[in-house]
Amino acid sequence: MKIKKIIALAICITVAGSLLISCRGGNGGGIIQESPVTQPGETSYPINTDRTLTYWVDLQGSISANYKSITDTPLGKELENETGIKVQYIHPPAGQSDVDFNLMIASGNLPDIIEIKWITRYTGGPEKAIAENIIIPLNDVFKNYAPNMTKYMEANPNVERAVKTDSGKYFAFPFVRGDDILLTSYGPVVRKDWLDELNLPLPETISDWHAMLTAFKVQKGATAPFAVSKDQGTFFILANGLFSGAYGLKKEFFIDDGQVKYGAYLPEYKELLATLQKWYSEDLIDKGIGTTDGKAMDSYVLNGRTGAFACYPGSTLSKYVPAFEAQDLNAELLPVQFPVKNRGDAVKYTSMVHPVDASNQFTAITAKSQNVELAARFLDYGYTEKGNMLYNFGVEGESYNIIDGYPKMSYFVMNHPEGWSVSQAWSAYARATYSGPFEQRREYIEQYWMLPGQKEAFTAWNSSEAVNHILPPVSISEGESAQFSSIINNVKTYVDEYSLKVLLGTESLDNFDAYITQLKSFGIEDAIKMQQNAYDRYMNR
Amino acid sequence: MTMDMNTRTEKRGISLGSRAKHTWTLIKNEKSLYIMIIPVLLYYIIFCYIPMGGAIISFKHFSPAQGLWNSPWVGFQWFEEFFRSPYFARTFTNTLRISLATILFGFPAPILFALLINELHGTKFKRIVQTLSYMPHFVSLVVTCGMVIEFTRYNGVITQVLGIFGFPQKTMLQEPNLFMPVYVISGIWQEVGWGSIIYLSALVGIDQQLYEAARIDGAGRIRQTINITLPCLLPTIIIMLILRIGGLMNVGFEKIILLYNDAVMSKADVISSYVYRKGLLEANWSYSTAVGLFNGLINCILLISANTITRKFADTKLW
Repeated sequence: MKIKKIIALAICITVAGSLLISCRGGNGGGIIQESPVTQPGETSYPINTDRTLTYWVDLQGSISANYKSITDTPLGKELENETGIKVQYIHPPAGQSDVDFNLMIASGNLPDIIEIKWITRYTGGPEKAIAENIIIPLNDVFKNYAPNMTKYMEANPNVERAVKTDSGKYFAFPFVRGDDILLTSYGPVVRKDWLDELNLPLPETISDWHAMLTAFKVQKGATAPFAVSKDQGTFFILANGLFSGAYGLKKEFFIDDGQVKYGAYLPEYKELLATLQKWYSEDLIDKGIGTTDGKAMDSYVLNGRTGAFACYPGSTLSKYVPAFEAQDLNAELLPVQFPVKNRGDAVKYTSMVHPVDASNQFTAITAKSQNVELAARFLDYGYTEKGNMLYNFGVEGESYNIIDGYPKMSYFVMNHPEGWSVSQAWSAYARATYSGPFEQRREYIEQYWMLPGQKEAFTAWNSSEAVNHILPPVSISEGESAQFSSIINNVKTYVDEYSLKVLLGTESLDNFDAYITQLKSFGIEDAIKMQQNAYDRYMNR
Repeated sequence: MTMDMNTRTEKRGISLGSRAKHTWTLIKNEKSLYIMIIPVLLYYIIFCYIPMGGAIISFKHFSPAQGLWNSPWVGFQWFEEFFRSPYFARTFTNTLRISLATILFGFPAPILFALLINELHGTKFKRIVQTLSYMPHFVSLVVTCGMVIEFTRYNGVITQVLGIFGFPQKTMLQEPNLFMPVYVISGIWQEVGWGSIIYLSALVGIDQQLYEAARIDGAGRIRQTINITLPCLLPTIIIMLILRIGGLMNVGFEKIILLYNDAVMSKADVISSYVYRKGLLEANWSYSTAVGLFNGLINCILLISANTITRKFADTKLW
């Protein structure tokens, strides 16, 4: 009931808002762009303007720990200095991003710029968002006001392909991972010191993992030998190829030989679940797996109850390694390869993403914006050489210095005097640690993953074949998108529920056929076909 | 509440004009009372009645870009889709089950608690017990649910204590059949003290002479409770019960989504949490409004029938 009220209220606001807008349109004969700030095609920063842009984007926890808004950070101030453009950032309350975004869209009250995962978050994707008059196509905008972005796309055709819809409309300024080593940032980590103590080799296969977890349980007394937090979904690991890779799949969509497949709909998924169910029944997997959140995870790892888990080393290991050191434990965390079925098999499925992945943030200009040109010029700055350095490393002389041509982060950032973590200090000055309208650089990860256990991730998770199995940022056609998202929402909910129940043993694997039938009746095959068509269209762009 | 006087001077056969005049005099006489009610009326109009108009989108294919009026009509499409979906039966029965259990166990709890408190004699002790029992009510739901999740894990304090009596050391919130007990019991713990306030105030209003007379007749404590206290509390209890039944299909989504996970979804997912997921997370506005409207309709029917029934049998009613 409460929700209904909120929705209804939101709609009332929409109506009131649209009335106002139509009145204004009637009086002024439409909204007229003010004369351009500079001539089309070129930009000389700083731009002289007294207008302020509004910019909706999530506020990272690493920033909100110290600042209320990006505007207040050194980065926000430097951007204003450099571009001459004032930006008022609008941040949704922490954890309320989705709700806030949906209500904003429904209210029709949009800022100039919205940065979000447009491909996955907006039902129907960018094509639909343009058709529904939420954001504008940027073809002319790029041509006229974004010379640097245009140049950047010319030099990087794979980026150009990813920021346009199937019908050839550019929709956003992208976040681009500019180097291969930035593409794989999530994977399995184990307690190396326990392995050494127990005389075990680094695990390569599923049976190695089984032996290792059993040894952790029996000989090290680990009560949750393998644990995973539910914060991103308990089966986030399977969607990223951990364990599932050994069975030749990823839980959700992936590419195999040009074919789109949905992992949880494959017969091999049954074997995968059988393995996990067996591990759980042998107490090798956390007994609280359904309720374990990030905090519970931390206490598992730091109290030696867990010997293997999956993580983003940047944020996670920078928490664990110092905590272990402080306790003076000789704990050593080491990233290991994604397990395979037979020794010597090549690793094919990892957490590797596309440089302009569908899960990336894209920065779009809204149809309500009256400052299209200014917004474009502001965003275009991220693709200049200077802007790229600012977004990645911050302010030269403060947060970084060029040493032998290498942007070296300053002592101030790496050892903040007030005890801020590296990610807090870094994200105050730059956005390399998360996302934004720019190309992320290799030097970021080289300096961000500095701790023992972080550096090893590069080689441990590296796989030459993973790139063949990742789904590029495709978009479902506009007419099919509503149906597609309805199918996929039903499927995902059902798959997660079934998988967890099987793992816990409350649901039998004998019902796997019924499970497949249920997925079929949700329309999974139609969804796979739509995704296949989208993939084919993408490859032909 | 101030309308009693309407009937006092009302006469048959007076013309419409004089009746309006009469009403106006009444209003004028009680000016300050009517002025005081304005903010409340406004509140209900602005926040409850006007937004109801938004329910119209449950019959449309609402898209924010087209707006409320221009979105195309689709009739009962969303309702049909909901009734056909595998989630209909599940969320419907779960809502009923959880709600009935909450009423069955959660409703008598504050009454019993109030009776017990009433029997306490040391004023200081009484006050301490009361204050302590209110406390959980003032703690944020997010915090209490966090505590519940921690305490009921396989190594949590509640599971361990129960383990002494042979209870299996399992994470309770992973067992579909344990979800409802955890939900109901934690609800009682959080609200029992707060819910007892209304009964305690009703207890204060009972004529002490009744007890005196009963004592002289030789009635013990329990007799007094059964023959005096409970009958005097009955009107309050019935009004509270009618209100509760009207909200039968209202299981708040906040606590559900804070407690549930994929493992117990089959027994925990209720209509309101489903509306929340469909509407606010998946932006399926029309569909979730349709589900919400359906839920509201059932509530309305339940409230009216509960009122009719009690009016017939107990002569206590809301209207």
